[in-house]
Amino acid sequence: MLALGAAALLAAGLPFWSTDQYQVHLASLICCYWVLIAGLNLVVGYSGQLSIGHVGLLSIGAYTFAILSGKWGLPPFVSVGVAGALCGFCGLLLGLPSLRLPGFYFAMATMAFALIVGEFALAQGDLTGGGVGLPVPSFPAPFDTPVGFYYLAVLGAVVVSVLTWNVARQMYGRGLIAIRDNPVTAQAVGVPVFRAKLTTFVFSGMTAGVGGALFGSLQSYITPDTFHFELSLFFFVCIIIGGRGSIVGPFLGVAVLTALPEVVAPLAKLGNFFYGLLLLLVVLVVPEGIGRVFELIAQRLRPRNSASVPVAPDLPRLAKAIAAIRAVPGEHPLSARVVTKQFGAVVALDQVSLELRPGEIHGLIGPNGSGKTTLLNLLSGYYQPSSGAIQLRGEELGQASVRRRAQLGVARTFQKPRLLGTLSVLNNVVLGAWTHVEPGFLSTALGLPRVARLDRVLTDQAAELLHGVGLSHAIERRANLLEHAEQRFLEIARGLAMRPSFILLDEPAGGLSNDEIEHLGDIIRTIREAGIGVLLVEHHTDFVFRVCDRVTTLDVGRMIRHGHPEDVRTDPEVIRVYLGA
Amino acid sequence: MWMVIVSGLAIGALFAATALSYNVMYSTSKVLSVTTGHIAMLGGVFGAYAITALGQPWWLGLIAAIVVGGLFGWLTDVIAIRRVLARSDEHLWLLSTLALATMVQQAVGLWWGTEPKPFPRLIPQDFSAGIADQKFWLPIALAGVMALGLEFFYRRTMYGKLFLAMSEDAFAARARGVSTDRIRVASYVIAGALGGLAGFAAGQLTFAYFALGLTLTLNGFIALAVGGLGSNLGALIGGLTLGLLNTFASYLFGGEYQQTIAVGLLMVVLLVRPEGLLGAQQIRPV
Repeated sequence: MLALGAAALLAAGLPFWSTDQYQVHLASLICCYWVLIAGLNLVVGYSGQLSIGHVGLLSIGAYTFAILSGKWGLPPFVSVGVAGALCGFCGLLLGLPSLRLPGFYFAMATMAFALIVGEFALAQGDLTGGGVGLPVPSFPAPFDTPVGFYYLAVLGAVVVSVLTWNVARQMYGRGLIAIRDNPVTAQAVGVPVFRAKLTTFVFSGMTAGVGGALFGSLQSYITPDTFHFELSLFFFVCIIIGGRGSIVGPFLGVAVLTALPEVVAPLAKLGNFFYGLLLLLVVLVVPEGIGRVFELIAQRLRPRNSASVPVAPDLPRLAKAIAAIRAVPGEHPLSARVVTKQFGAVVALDQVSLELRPGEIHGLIGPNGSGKTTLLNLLSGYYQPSSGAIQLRGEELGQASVRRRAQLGVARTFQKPRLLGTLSVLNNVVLGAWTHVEPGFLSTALGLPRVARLDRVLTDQAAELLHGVGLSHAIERRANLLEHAEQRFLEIARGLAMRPSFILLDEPAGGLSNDEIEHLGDIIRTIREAGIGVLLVEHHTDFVFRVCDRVTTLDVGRMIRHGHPEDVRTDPEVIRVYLGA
Repeated sequence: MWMVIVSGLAIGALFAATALSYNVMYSTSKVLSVTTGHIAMLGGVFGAYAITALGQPWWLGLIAAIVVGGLFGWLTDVIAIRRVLARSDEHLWLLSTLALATMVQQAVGLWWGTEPKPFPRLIPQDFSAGIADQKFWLPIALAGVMALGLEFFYRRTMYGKLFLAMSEDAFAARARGVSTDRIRVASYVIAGALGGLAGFAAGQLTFAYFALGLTLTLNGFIALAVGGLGSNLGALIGGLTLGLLNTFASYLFGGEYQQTIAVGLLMVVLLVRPEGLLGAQQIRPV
């Protein structure tokens, strides 16, 4: 925020220390581009959707402004608003069919959109002047001089920066990064993946429309050639070079890349070849953007003490942290009733029933391929049962989405921890509380105090959970720097941040040392004491029989025994198929 | 009217050939390369360069187109795919192939010029041949031969079966001792050679034009998405449908909205049947 303020101050002073008209023009251009790129940055850099056709939206914004206020005489600022709204609407139409599909489909759809807009601009000569083009009016005084316009552009850039800054820094931004880096995790914590992608893209359409109006006015005359496809590529390259998941980086990207060809003449001639080369180098050498290089250098210069610290849970603190965020424990079980799951002709689960009660640790064991993870996926919603029912509080959940179950308080961890590697450990846990904020894009972007306050509260609660599970030493560390046991415990903390009634643990002891397994057992018992139902899928059978209240055994998709651990352990059939003598 | 149909089939055949080229690369790497259309562009440009500027016979131009296409396919793998696939981030290959495509397009623009240049006649034929003109029938014939050839390759040759194995499950193929890296490189060279050939065959229709690549990348992809990713028959159907739609739309409404109609088709298919006409249902990600 400080850097942003300094940049704004510097920008405000530019006309005083620079007498060169052209420099003011260039700075205005950078601001116009930034209005678009800041919005696009949320799409490309945060939600990870590659829109390579944003120039189409820029073009619509500029033409709308030129036609409405130039030809039809609407007040300029009204026209800017209409341009933004229209481009947002175009974003909606474009994103609706394509954002559900793999990334390449979306990229191609946006590229096609840019080409269509060019075609329309040429074909609708009456409106757009066809190939000849259209003059674009300037803004009314005091914005009608180059310096006046410059201040307007700076204002636009600052407003958009603040909006995107607010989004990026709070729950919504964490959700977007989850969508980018790990869509499965995003679903698991209840982020509405498609809706968030679409909303962000619509927002980027709106900023592109406003940016287009400003850009058109700055150019004062536009033709379809003003909006060549390569401009899209330029926007895109600015963001990728600046670094994904950053706002300052892409801003520096656009500033440098706009000014550079003006300073170094041969680069202007090479044009797109240069941008292509830059993009290729960045992707191959530092895919996280140039900013990452500085980070790495900084790390080299002052190496931080990241020696491995054994994980030591603080159980009373954990119990308090859980109690602080949970309402009264429920009384209803999460139950699977005679569920069957088939994949083609393969029956992975055959009429299995299981009842997971609040405040109980329920073990699920069986040989590999016996259907343990399938059952867990059915309970958490990644699969839908072929027949049978899954119920919670009388609600039938069989067809309900993963997100819906997250809302109802069903949390889970994964066999291979699914963390957001570029976020801090703390932010990984805060993300778990998504469904308790259900953040709206608008309220987040506007920086409402209510939203900011809630974000702070959730952050404190998440920190308490982390202290509780024994990760105090790693709270600010990037999650991809964690050791294996730390990753497992972090996933449990994230699950607890969801304030679950039930938590499903998929082989949480996998790869842990004996001491760590002891700690895990303590944590699981503490979770039980808080009234949460725990489903424990595990191969460490000693551990399962030690901590569980009840145990269910599966074999080739069938349930062979369930009941008290001691009864299951001594059951001859269980010993034959799984435990061995 | 026949003219509309035949020219639609011809341009559709070029889209289909591009889509087939996409499929060959996709089968071994699960990558949709943005350079796919640019390969065909290079075939057209280098064919024209060899014949017109260097005065070589047509068959040398043909070889030039195939070699340049294959070479560029290989380069695509070496520069934009190999290192990126090792990192297993699904976005990166889109960026790297986009970067490479941009560089190639700009380089050709600087060297060859940004105006479309005519492509020489390959077979002596009068320009008044109408619908029998070679510029229509060469790409149509080629797309047919390509589709049949690929079918033969996949079904009857050991190498082709390795491609199929990799497209089913690259991991399992490697476990059986298949050198998946070599197969992938081979697939890029083959796709490049086929793409270059397609660009050469369609040269008289499209002219030798530096910006053709992006259009073909897009339209080839639309053909593929309509027909179903991974299906060669789908690629043919999708390509021809798109070509016919293009020319009929121009015939009925004028040529200004060609791209709009193509994209409209894409959007409708994505909404109604995202997996395409003959594509496999997508499997859930967990």
